[in-house]
Amino acid sequence: MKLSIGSLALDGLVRNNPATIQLLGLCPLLAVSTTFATSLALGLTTLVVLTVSCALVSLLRSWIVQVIRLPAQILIIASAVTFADLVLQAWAFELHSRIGLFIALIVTNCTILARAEAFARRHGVITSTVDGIMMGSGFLVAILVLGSVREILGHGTLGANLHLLWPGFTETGLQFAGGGLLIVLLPPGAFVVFGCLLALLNTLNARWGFSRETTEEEGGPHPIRDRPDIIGSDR
Amino acid sequence: MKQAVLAMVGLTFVAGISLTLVDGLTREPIANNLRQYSEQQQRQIWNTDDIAFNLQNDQTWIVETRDEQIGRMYRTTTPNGYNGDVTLWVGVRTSGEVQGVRVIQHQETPGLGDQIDHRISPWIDHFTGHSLDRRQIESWDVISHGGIFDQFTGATITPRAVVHAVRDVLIQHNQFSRTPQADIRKDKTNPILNRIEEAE
Repeated sequence: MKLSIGSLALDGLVRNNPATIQLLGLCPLLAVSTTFATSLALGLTTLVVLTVSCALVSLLRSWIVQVIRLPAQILIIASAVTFADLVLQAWAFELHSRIGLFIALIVTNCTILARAEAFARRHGVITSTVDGIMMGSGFLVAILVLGSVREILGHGTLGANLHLLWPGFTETGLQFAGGGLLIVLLPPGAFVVFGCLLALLNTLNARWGFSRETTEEEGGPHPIRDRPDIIGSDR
Repeated sequence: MKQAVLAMVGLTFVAGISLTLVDGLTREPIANNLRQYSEQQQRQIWNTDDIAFNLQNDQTWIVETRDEQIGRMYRTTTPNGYNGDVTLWVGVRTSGEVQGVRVIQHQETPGLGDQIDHRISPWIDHFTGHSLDRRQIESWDVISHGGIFDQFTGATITPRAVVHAVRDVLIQHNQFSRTPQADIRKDKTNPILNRIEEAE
């Protein structure tokens, strides 16, 4: 096995990015990416939940036998999400009141179950944790790009309300224009912007070929060919 | 199979215990946060710390400074938001004008409907100074529905729910204080007014 931190990072961030290559976790990705601040908050929470669940699933992988693996993985993920939800409510109340609705929905982010199922239950704790961090970062980067573009086009600002995340930031952020295109903020706009992003990435990929099919040893399930694996039988 | 059942039961048990622990640890801070936030919103509405709230009934408080009664504070919840209940504090001066409104709990869409939240947008300050003229009760709506209050980019349902909730509080307030409005009561065309009269 050649699973260095470097190759895991390359997989998570670029080659096998959960959002732009595997197209997983689109529900929170499209719903929350209306501004940079909410994107950052949800991206970071997802990163933490993903890392913790990957580590736990990997740690318990010898106990979790075949027939119970899905309920067991969902139980672990749901507990991690509830944990994050309560902790944020208790110690980051302001932030939670902004994105609270979507915290609970992290549990439905397929990226997390996909990583648990396709990677964590077949690899060691450290490798799985690193994979969780990298895949989470890949999702974070994708949602941040989407959030920035949509905030600039839709609100004419960038980084507004970041002070809720960190008191050092200003409330207004960078101002570019007085207003923006409403459609970009609405759900159809999310699809359009995300589509444009995918088109751009595909063009770049066709030129430089950074994304490639990764073998199972390298930890990357093929986006389409391996989908049945998530719900279906084990190979 | 036996191992599977045992593992699942054990895992559920451990998950339950850990979540109970976390819940125990966070319950107090969460309740504190909510209470603090709610009180801070009350003070923001009345713009002063030197104030007392006397419970009238479970949704209404009489607001008093040291020597006089200056208004009432209502807590109201509307189910008409885009996503679930919206809970508001509505401060009404004795004169019947709105002193201020604050949303204390909502689950409106971040980036769209959540602009009713004063931390995100000053929109809700628009209510201050308005009162309910029963002859023009339909002006208590958002502009796109013929009213006088701005809706905001991307959301009509949420601001409309808030406008209507504040309007209903004012109707209730006028009933309470029974301000002389004999001439306006003659207006029989408005269904809401008729309902109020029946109630009275």
